Amino acid sequence: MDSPMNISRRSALSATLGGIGAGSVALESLLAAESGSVSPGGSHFSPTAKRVIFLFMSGGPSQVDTFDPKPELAKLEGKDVPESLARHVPRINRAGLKNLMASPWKFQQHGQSGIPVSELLPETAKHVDDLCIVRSMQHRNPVHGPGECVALTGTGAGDRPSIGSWSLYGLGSETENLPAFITMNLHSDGMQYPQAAGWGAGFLPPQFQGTVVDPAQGIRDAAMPAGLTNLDRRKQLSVLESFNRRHLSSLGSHPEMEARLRSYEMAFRLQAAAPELFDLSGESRATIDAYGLETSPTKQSGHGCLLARRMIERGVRFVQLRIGGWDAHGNIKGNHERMCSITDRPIAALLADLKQRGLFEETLVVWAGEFGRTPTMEGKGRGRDHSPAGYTVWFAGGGVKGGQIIGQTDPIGYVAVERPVSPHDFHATILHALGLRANKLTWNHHGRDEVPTVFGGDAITEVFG
Amino acid sequence: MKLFHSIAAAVSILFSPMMIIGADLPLSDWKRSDPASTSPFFVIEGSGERQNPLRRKLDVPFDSDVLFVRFQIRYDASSIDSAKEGAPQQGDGEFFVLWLDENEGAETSAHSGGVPNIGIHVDGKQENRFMVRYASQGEAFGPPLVGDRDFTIVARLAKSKASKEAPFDELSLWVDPKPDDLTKPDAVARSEKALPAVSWIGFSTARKTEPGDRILVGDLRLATDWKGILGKAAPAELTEIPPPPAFEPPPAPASIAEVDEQPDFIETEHWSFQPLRRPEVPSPRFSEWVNNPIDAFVAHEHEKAGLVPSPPASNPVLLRRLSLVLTGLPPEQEKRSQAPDPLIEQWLDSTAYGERWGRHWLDVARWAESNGHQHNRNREHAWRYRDWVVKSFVEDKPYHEFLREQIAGDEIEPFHPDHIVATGFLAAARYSGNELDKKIQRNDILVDIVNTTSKAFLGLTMECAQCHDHFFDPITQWDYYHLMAWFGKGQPGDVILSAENEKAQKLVSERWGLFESVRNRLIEQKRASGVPEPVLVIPKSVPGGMTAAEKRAFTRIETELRELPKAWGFYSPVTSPHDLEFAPTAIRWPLPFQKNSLRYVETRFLDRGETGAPGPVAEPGFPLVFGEGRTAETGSRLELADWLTHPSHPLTARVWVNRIWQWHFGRGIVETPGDLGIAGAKPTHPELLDWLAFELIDSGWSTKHIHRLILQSNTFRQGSDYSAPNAEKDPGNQLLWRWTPRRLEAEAIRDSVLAVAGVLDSSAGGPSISATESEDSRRRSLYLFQRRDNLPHQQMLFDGANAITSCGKRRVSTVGLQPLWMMNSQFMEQHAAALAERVQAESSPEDDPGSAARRLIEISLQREATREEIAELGNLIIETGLSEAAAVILNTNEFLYIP
Repeated sequence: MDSPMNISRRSALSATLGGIGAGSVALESLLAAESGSVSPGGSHFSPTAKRVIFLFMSGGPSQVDTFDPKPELAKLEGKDVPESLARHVPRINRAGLKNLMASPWKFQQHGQSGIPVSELLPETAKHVDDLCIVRSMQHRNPVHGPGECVALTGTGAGDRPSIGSWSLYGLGSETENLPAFITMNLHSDGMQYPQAAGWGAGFLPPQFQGTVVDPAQGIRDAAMPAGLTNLDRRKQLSVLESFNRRHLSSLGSHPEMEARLRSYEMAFRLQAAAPELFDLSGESRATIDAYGLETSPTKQSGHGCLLARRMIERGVRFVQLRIGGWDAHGNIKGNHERMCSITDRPIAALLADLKQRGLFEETLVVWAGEFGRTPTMEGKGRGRDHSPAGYTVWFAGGGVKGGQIIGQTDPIGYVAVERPVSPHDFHATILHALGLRANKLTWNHHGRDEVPTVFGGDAITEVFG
Repeated sequence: MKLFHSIAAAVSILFSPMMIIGADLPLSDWKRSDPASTSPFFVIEGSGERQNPLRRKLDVPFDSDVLFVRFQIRYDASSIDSAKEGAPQQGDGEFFVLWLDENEGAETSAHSGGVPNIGIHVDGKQENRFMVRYASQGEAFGPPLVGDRDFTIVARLAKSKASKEAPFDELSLWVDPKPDDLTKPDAVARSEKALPAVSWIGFSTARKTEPGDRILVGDLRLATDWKGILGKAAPAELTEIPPPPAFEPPPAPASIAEVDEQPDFIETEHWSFQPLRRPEVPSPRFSEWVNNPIDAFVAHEHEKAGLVPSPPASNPVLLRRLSLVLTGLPPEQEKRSQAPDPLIEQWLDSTAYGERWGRHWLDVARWAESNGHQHNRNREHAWRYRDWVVKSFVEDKPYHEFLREQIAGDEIEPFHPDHIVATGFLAAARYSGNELDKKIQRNDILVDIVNTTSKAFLGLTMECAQCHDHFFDPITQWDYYHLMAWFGKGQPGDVILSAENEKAQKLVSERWGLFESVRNRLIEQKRASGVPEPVLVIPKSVPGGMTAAEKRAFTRIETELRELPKAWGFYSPVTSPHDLEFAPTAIRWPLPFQKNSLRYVETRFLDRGETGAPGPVAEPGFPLVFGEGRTAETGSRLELADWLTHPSHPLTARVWVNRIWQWHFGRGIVETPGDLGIAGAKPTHPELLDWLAFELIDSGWSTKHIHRLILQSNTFRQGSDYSAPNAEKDPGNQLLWRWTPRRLEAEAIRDSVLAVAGVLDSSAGGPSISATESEDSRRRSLYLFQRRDNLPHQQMLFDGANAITSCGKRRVSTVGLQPLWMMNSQFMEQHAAALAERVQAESSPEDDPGSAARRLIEISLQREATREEIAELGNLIIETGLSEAAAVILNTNEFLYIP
């Protein structure tokens, strides 16, 4: 990809490395990562979180059935969206205005804060005092693929860096043994195919991209060929290094080749650390049960959530757990009952576990879909269509002031009417927790200083109290 | 006429003018195809099919004696077909009516046969006129339709017998009624079969109202007498007709005045926009180093900077370099001791050369074999473009033809299937099959095409001009939309590769006919079961709703269609002289499948790049900065190709020779191959760039001519030895005082491993290898299926192109996951073992570690092994095994870099 790589922030360092462009930048970050020194850029102010777990609920959970109760819907059941509200519904496809549908679930207030949560999420509800619920997310893209790109990269085209990549770029990695940004894609069968842009590095150098990990299989190619011992591998690496050093000696300096040389050491560490990461035998019975690893609906996502905690513990900077399947077109009841039974318990267990281990305060946990769903019924099937006009996300941990609600939708939960929050604001909020100012985190691309919030966006500072 | 005042009052309450035209227009009272519209006036757009975009129920059915109806109408002049010239053709002329019916009918129902229709149709003289009718026979015509003009239409529906059951048997029409005219209607239609009551009113368009046609209606009223229909303002004595309310068109499109003013010309001093100048070849002092003019230009810079070129590379290194640069594979054994020059010719003639250089171009063309985005349907016939690119390189297709076929292949005469295949360049654009907003979807494709075309051929990054004038380059937002307009009348699709193919035409039309009839039936069924509007039936579910007989016919048609060769290409039925067919695809939604509808597609300036904010129409035109004016003559893409490849074009040749240079040296004379604009890098050797551009043009745009010049230069043949004095003056080797080794691309890594393992399957071309088969495939990486978002793992791990945006230069990343693949993957394990087997078979004695070590290095690195290496490797073989030692050699930088 064309990239002039004349990176203003880093030009001094690049020059000392020979100024050979892409290679020198890659090397520099690699060196930063290798030496364990954290940030290429450093924080802009004191962070409230060191790491992020992003629980990405792909398909679009319905706000009015989870965290944004709308009793008005019961009164208007079967009616069209009243004109006074309909006129504010953005004119985008799929924004159906006919046939409002009440939530099939009851809401109850929980915790000291008394925040109402749907009966679909009894376990998450127990943590409501730790959640900062933002009910006024809003964008305009009602289609899964581009919507997912909007939610994770800021625009629908899928060519910009993901929020995980920006985070990593801003902070650097914390571990030498594991990739610093890991994404796990669960339940990604069906129509909502994961969008690679969601963990892609866009125009940032490739080492900032997320590494896709299948929880069942671990890190790809981390296992050595059968029969090979660590000692064999050591011997191989020693001969390799000797060949490479001799080869390099005639070339004077070649930073990229030197980096390659060291990357073998890093790979060796990685392959040693990976099995340990995925080996759950050290986890207690209580933990296994809490995450629901042995009960069928929660098995897979419980595994993902538990691995997320283990990754965080081992210094992974950004863990993205994508749980697909929320696309409740035909049948909101069946779909959301299933999806909540899959996710509620493991997510609650993750929050509790982080707390218990003292990781909660330094880990930002984010729960969000690419959009919400219409309060109206789609077709006859008692499902809801996609709706980005007003939907709910939540933040927890990492300096978040829990037990509060930010923003509001209209009386039927269709459109964000109070303190609308864009995906860019949302991204700026994540970066804010990490001590990064979104509009100061720049990368020079095509002569322009690009920032994570391409059309402007400000952190929701109230999230942090 | 007897008036029923009580009913008149009731009607005016139910259906008062305020309700229909005021700002508080209750939209929910109208059923509209476009449910989200909030305009107080109704814009009705044609679709080329029967549609009822606007329908409304009366609160109480009206069955009294007289009903007046009135509305305002304005027809865009550009929408009106004249049916007068020549023989009337199907579809010419206009048809648009307001109907008054007992029933609502469906989205696509006809309202005729006793149903009063008031509107516009073609008369016997092939003229568009206002008319009234009850059935298509028996139309009564009034005055002709004039475009861009407001008309007030009043019609009176009357019963000759006063009875609830009696028919509304007289229908009279006034167009712009005057007080004197009230007894003299412009037209009267009569029918005893007319219906006796009205419950629904609505507007209909049909086949004659084509896509792009735009009709404004508003101020719709019903009343029971003249006074009522003319409104409160009507005087007691009807001496004059009060003027209708101002007919305000809906907000968009923006007028030209609101859009940024277009300048007449744009000037720039930036180097790349200046005309090519034939530079004088310098005469450097060290003339013995100069093998051809390239060296003269390079040596000239060396002298100025006080640099001394490196000694030439050894023959083994040079051969390895040549082979890897030209073919992406290490040199074969028997070539090891041959002279370079004849080998260059051999390699340039080889398919392997086309495969490597074709891959370079596929990067630029952001080519892939699926739609991308969420649904990401595969493009089963996209591989033909890949093969066309490979063949074009092997045959040294002149670059101006290479360009021309890619952007205008469907317009070239005479027809040749390869030209259609070449348009795969344009068709490689991504699009979202799930995007229901067709305007956005179409715009996304065109934006992709403009961005890629400008980057690939002009070396300009245009993407930001989609929303605003370019920040750096002298490119305006208008330039962007004028460029877009060249492509606006075509679209990507599976094009059947034969012209005027009657069989194909018949099959396609049969296929759609059958498919649509079943689809309509399914829609009716869903509607009848109470599914609210808009009722959608996804294409995938249509075959499931077919009867056994329909299914049989459908399967037969599909089978026959499958046998016709196709390519994923770009075709415009408007600008192409050939009559081609798009093969039906499983998904019908993405793109209009009716060829005819492309005639009416307009490219508009979009405010901030948003499809929801269309401005004036943009015709095909050239960016102003090139100083040749804006206006195109024909608007065909051939004209665009001619303009791009004109020998005086300042960018095209520069951009191409720069790319060729970069793919040899790893860095272009301009370091940013897709951006020769102001934000791009400056050329290190501007005169050399221009000299090469002239060489390209003068050689008849021969790419291989440029290859030979570069490959025969001493600049290219230098060694890579470090020199401290040189490095001090030019640490980045900008001035080429040595060869800079660079890592092989993902494909070349995998291919080289297969080659030295002795298992490379060099069969060329054809459909790609599916993901499930790719793990076991030993063919070149070029032939692995390129599915967007799911490209082969190794390809992405080693920085392959993302196939989303044009990639002019691969990045090189160095991450810990790469060694994991290189040392642990099944692919590497297998092929290290294969290499070990080969080494063993070629070693003598067979089980001597020293001999194996020597042979391993000879085979893999194409050079003699040193004693030190033999000792080290021999030991490793003894301690861990030959495969393990082979794996080490495949991981060396020496193996993975172009030396």
